[in-house]
Amino acid sequence: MSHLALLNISVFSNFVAFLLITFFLKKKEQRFLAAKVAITLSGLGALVSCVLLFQRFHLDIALTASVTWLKWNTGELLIGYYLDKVSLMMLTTVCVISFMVQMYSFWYMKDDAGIRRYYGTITFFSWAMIFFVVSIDLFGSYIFWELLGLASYLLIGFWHEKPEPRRAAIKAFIMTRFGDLGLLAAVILLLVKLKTVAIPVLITAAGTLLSPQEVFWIVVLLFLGVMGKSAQFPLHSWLPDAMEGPTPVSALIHSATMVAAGVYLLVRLFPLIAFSESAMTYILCIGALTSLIAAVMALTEKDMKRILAYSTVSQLGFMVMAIGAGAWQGGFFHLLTHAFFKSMLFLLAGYFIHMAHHSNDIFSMAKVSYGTKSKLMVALLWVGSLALCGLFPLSGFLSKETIFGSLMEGHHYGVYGVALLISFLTAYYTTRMAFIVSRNGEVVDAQENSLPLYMKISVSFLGLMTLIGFWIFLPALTEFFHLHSEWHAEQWVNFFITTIGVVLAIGVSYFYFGRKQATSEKGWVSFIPGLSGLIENKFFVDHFWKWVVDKGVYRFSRMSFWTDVHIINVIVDQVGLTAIRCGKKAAALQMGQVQQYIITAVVVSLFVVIYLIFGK
Amino acid sequence: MINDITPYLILSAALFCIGLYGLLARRSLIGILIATELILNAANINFLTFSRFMDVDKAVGQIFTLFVIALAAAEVAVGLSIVLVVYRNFNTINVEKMDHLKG
Repeated sequence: MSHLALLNISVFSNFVAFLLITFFLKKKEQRFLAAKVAITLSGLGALVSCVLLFQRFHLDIALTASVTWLKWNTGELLIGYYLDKVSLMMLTTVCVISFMVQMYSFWYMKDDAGIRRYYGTITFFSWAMIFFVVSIDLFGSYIFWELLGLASYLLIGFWHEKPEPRRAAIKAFIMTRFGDLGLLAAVILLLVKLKTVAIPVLITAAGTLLSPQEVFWIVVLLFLGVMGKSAQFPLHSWLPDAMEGPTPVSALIHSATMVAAGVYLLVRLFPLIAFSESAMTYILCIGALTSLIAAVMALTEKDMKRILAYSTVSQLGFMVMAIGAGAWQGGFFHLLTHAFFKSMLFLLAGYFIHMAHHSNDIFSMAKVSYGTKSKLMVALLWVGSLALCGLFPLSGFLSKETIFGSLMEGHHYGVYGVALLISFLTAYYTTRMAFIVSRNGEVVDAQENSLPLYMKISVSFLGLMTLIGFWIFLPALTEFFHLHSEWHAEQWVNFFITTIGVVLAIGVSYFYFGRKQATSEKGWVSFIPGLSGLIENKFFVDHFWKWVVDKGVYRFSRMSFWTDVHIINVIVDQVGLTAIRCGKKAAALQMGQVQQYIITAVVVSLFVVIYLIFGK
Repeated sequence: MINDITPYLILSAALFCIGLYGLLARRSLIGILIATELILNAANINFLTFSRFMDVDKAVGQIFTLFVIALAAAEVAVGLSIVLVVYRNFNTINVEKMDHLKG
């Protein structure tokens, strides 16, 4: 089969599942069939995307296929595919993770009455992300970007009977929409300036056609969209709240879809972004700030899913920071590795929450006694956590090392220090979570029955990818990401610095939480005055937004209301009244005397005749 | 004299002016209708005159006149019935009294 046909299959398999579920499998007793259809089709998509990866990765030419969708005299919009190495890798990652998550969800959601709706939405979600990844036109990307927002809204608010998911869904939707305005503005600006927003044009020629000033503003607007989607400070606060959705959804949102979209967009348009030094610095600062703040907020969190959510925000900030420092390969590599181990961690969180009788609290998980059947899950939890720390030889190490390496080579020593601090904090709070969760308590869990094979497969596959998956692909990746195939002194120094940092953090975490007699809940954070309060109030970001809405949006809308009533209404009324008054005046001419009308008519026609005869 | 256009036109103009005067001065609806007839006939004479003295197809003016006569007959029929209805409703046919539509 041609590569285009393969691409079509992998892009549309999820969409076909969505259509089938929506229009044909409507009955309640067909809900498991619907789930199976979704899993089968997304499995097919994942398989085909892997085939595509192996067949195309060594090719340097991008696969493009597009039709003109809208054309006017000064520009055009396309719709179609642009599949180069970047989008190919992302495509495979998204397809595979989406498949794994859907497979896992069957175990997680099988007792939920809304399982059909769940699979309908999640296939739609995956499809939107997949098409976003391969879209050739930035405007097409924007459409799917918005569809992603819609689907995530539906999934976060999946349990809409409860108030918190509803609120979280609305919060996520509004905050990301706020950012999307910026993206839309950037797309329109590009369209006005360049007459086209086709991605191949943007990444090859755009920088030379625009002045650095223009690039700066476009990138700033574009980055506003990224801040919304990829949860960058100060638009990050929707992501921890998005934990209200079903856990597999969090796994998908936090790894390969939704939040990955923002970072992916930066990677995609990196050649354009790189034309503006100041925009890069701006991105770098926001990324570093986000990463640091989120890492700090995760330090004392007790909700397992929120810890993971903060770690996602932190890691996303890390990637954005790397891209801002010019190390887009490192950022993108980290996006890929992070997608696998973070989705696994979330799936595991789903398992542990199940074990702890549907409590997200890591301390209630600590009370559960894990038998032999949970061995695999606990082991995988450690694999995922250590990958998140970036410990050798897990996949997180590879990508994190790439970022550190390029930071060092680029002589960004300040950023290097910040990254080191973040890496230290990450290792600390991640292992804190893992230590506490894997404690063996006394409470015997109720669900000690054996887990279905497909659930184990999905989690283990992700674990396998974290353990050795990226080492298998390393030769190919080395070439693409410009990794060092041979290590010199610089790389060894880098390796030791980062590893020592991580090991130190794990040691601290062991001291507070790992030992048998450990009772601490917050660790060393409680020794630093003010920090606890700051974390409890989430750095006042939510307060800030509430203040913005209260003082800004509400005040503005009240002002608009006042203007409407007292100014615009008065003007409109006066216009209407004037018309009525003029009408009254004119009506007086209508005196009701037919013969006077006739006189008028005769006199006027007399004048007309005179004009016609003598007027020339 | 019979080959001179002027007397015919003077006759026609006189008829038109009398008709116009009647149209404007009469208060009775019947009077106004009669005045309208005069104006129409003034137009008829004009048609016939120009048809006779100009170098055109002689049939044109005569056919037009016939049309106008037929139209005038129809107009009188409609007009008189309107007058009747007006009289029934207002008990008068004085046009100055009929100003119900004024603004």
